[in-house]
Amino acid sequence: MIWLAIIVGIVLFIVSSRQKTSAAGPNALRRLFIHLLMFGLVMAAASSLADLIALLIGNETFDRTQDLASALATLTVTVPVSLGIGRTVLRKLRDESSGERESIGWNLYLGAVLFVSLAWTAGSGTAVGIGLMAGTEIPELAIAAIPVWGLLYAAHRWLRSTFGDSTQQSLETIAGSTLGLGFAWVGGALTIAWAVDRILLSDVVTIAQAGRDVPVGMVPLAVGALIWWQYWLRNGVDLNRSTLWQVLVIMVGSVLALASALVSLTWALFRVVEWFIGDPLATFEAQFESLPALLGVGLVGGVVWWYHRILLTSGERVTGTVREVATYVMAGLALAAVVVAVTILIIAVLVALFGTTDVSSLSDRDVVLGAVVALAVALPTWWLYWSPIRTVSVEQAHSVARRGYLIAIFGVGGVVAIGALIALLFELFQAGIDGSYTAATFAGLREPIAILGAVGLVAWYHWTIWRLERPAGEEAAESGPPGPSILLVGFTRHTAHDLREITGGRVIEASFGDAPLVDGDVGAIEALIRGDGQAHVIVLAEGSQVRVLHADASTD
Amino acid sequence: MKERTPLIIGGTLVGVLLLVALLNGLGREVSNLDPSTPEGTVQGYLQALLADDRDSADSFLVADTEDPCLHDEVDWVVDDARIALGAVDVDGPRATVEVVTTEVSEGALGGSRYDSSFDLVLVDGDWRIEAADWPYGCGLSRERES
Repeated sequence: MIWLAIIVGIVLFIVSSRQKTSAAGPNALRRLFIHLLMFGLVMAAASSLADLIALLIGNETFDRTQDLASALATLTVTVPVSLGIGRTVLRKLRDESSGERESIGWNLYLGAVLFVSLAWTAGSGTAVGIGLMAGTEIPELAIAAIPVWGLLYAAHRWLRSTFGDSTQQSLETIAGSTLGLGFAWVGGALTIAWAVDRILLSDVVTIAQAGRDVPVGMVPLAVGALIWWQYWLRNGVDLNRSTLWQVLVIMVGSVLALASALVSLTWALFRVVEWFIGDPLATFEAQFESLPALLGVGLVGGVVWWYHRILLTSGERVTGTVREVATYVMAGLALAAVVVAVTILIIAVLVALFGTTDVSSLSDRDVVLGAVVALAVALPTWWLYWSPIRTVSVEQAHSVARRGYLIAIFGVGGVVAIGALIALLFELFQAGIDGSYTAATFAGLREPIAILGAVGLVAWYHWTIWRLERPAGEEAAESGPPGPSILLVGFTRHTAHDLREITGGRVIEASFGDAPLVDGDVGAIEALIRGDGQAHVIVLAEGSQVRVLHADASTD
Repeated sequence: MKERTPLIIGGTLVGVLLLVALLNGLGREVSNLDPSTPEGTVQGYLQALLADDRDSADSFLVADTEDPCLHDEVDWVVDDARIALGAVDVDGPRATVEVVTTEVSEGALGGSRYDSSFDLVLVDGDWRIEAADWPYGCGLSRERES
């Protein structure tokens, strides 16, 4: 209480000093502090009020006295203090010349209160809805929270529409969109899982049940869809210039959605394949008991990913740079899935070659099946993102996104490889110190070897890309220009690389704007250059034809 | 392709799946098992628990059970569970009944599913529960065996 009194004293001091010095101009830091404090007070007051109502309507006896005292004490302090500060803030808000409406602190406060109160209202509404639908017990706190947090939300919506700065609402809009998407995502997955469970596992014998067996996932689905429609479809989707928008669409709508879809659907596919050609569990019910949940998560993840992919690729909402970054992020994610699949495959090969101990709870055959299924899903996904950017123009090859992507692969791959190497040496040293190389030693080596192999493959492949795309000057500086100088226009990186190799000359690449690059017949080009006998030539791709022009040495 | 096409297809998918599931019957009916069997005994015990009838539930236990959890650890499940029958293994005067418990409010999304076994013995011609796994008991008989 002493500390609370001190804090309240500081606040009142700041508020009063602010009133005295308002003519001195806006003080953003002080405003931020006041609104941060106001936020804390309002949250504490609302939370305590909901607790108090829950205690009054419920029959909970455990720690009731302590909880009641705590709620009353918090309310006694927070309500008057927040009303006092709120009154001062409101007075400033009514004065349009004060700059309060446009302040970052006020708009952050509004966004934060609206988000938290919406989350509480939605969560409590969902709990009550599920209880009503399933006929199960409804938590008193959920019943109490709906009016408290709902009213707080409504009051701050009014404040925002009256005193908010319409140019500073992207945080609230994107946060609300994310919240709605999350609820709808979980609800959709639960609903699909329920339906598939009833269709697929209809022979399950239920021997006891509390409540009704109904698709309760429809409640969070409906709540989430309503919030998402209000925040995203009506407002957020058009904030496409905002960084927050891009982060949501790329990281949540694309990366998270694709990751959940890939993992779930791969595991579901594995269960199906295992049933037919692997070593399945004893009964159909046991084998497929997780399938409904996997399909629920996977299908909803797929739909979420698909929707956001259209947003990113339609060309109407995002710039080329954002689309490029998104493509590399997704390619990296899919590549990680490929690495995991290849790692499992190498482990399976090692087990097949050198005998087995327990790889996991799965049989050896199932480990191979799992690796094949994982590859069958991960490889096409990676190719979907990588194939359009595998061969790019000179300008795109030197873009920050592409160089960053390649460097990130080498960096992350290097860290993973070092970790695997340490694990490998640990096993070897441990066995060496003990003087006993056993089957357990080999079992411990499998994973590091497999990781090193998979990471090595990926690093090697991307190293070839890196080498191909190095600025021509770098390569020339390393190897010198013993052959002709060639300006290669309209051909792919691979053509340039091969021509560089075959002629030993200096090859400078160029392209015709966005015109597609051509894979040239390197042998034919080399023959044309040799036949021409010039030291400096320009090689043009003209459809399926190749044209060689002389270049004056002085222009080189 | 229009932006909302995935939403329309996703919504249709959910609707069709729900429709097919509902045509299969609105939820699962609770089966009535023969009360003289081990699984019927477990069903009687669990239904008594769900009805919060502790006296009736106790009548399905052996009189001197060493598993204290059989009485104390099941509060969480009383209001919010669907329990399905798993494997039943009868070996003379002893039997094991496996059940899968799912919290109704969380559906079938994993995390809220629990596999449990009940150990039963034949006492004067009636099956009685001697021990059970969490959350219904502490699994004492299996700990003893191991």
